[in-house]
Amino acid sequence: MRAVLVFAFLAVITLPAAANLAGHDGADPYAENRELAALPRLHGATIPSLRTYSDEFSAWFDDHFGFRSMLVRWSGAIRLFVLGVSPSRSVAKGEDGWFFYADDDAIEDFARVTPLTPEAVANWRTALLRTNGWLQARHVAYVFTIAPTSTCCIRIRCLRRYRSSAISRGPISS
Amino acid sequence: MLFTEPTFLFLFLPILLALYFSTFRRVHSSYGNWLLLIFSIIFYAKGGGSFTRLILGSIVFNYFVAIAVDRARGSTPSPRPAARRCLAFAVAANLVLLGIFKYTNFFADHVNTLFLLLRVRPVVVPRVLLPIGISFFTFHAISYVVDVYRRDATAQKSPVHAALYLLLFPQLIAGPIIRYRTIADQLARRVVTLDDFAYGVRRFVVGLAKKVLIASAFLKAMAGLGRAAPTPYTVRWYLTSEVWLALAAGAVGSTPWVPALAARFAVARRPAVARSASLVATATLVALLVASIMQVAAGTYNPFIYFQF
Repeated sequence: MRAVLVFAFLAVITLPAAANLAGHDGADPYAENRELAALPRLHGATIPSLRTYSDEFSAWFDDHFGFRSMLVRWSGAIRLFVLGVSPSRSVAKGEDGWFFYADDDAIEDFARVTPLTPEAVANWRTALLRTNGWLQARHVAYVFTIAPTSTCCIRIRCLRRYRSSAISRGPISS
Repeated sequence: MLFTEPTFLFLFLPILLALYFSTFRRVHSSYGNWLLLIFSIIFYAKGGGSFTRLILGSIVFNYFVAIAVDRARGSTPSPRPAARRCLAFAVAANLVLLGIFKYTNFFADHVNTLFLLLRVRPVVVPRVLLPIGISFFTFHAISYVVDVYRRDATAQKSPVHAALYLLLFPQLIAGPIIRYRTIADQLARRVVTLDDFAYGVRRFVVGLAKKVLIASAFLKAMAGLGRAAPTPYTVRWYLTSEVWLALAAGAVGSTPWVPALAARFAVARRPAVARSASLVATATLVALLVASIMQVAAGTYNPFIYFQF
């Protein structure tokens, strides 16, 4: 068993670089929200240029080591199907296979973590009523609407466990 | 360079192991030492940058000062005053180096706070960058000189061996501080067997899994909870099943009965039980290794549509 363990360890740490040497690029450039590092070229043999090359080569290797995209997929699958959590902090796992955008405080908004204060609601109400009055005086119709988020649209499949209370939907009236 | 970086795991470590064992010998001495020293310097230079020269200068200083302590100490039971002075100088010089890099800004900030209260013009002190691992390195060097002073070991005559003791990359940036007398003999000559290597692999895999699977999950959860308001929502959002699993694994793994149970199974009287236990342990370690590698890969990923699957 010791030999098996040692062989497995050596295989796991050696295969990515071996794949690179065999011409296999582990990156999936179309799946990332950035430009992947390019293979650097060495400019001179001075210490600063060697240092720069070393940093750039590490950046390239981090992006391109063999089987990288496969390992990332496996990691995502295990987190999702085995652990039952979203593979990304930017996406919240909902019910029935639905996923929701979770960045920009989207889930916080849905869960009403920080609702508007009564003063802020009063300010909004005053501003809207004032705008409405100004436009009506000029015979212009004024319609105010708030674009619903995906979590609101697909209410039944929302992240109920994150909800602390129902979202208020009352119309702003004078 | 960190042990959890792809560059270390998939490039630095395999190349070092391939070169180290390319002699196909069980006994390792001069060639292995040179190789380990060169790779340790590369390892430090990768993260330490220009501080590498400082560390190398400190190694040269401690190499010569240890020889001076050894000579001044002589072979008498009680140390001579010259040896004591030499030791005091070595310890002071190492601590001054540590103090300059680690505490200059700390003291300057506090003194300036006091000066502000007293309406005195603050002292302008440039920001001093902290060399990686300076604390471990300093105390390692001090322990070496102290071991020589106490005659627990003789001063290393080989600069390569002395440098390797101080610079060996597995303990360079995060310790532990290994007493020189513990490994003095192994620096000159050591035998590496399959059992030793397998033991090292076990320690490495368990450590890697603790870092990238357990500690990282906690770090994310604690950092998120620290930033967010403590509501039931934030607790549910950050304390996922992954974190609870990491908590359970950490709690179970750190209890003393786990290694005791494993040892008991390993020496079970029934060979079938011992074989099964060994098989389960190996399968678990391989699974931990693969899971850790997947986590390392996922850490380098910046998803296009905020989704990694």
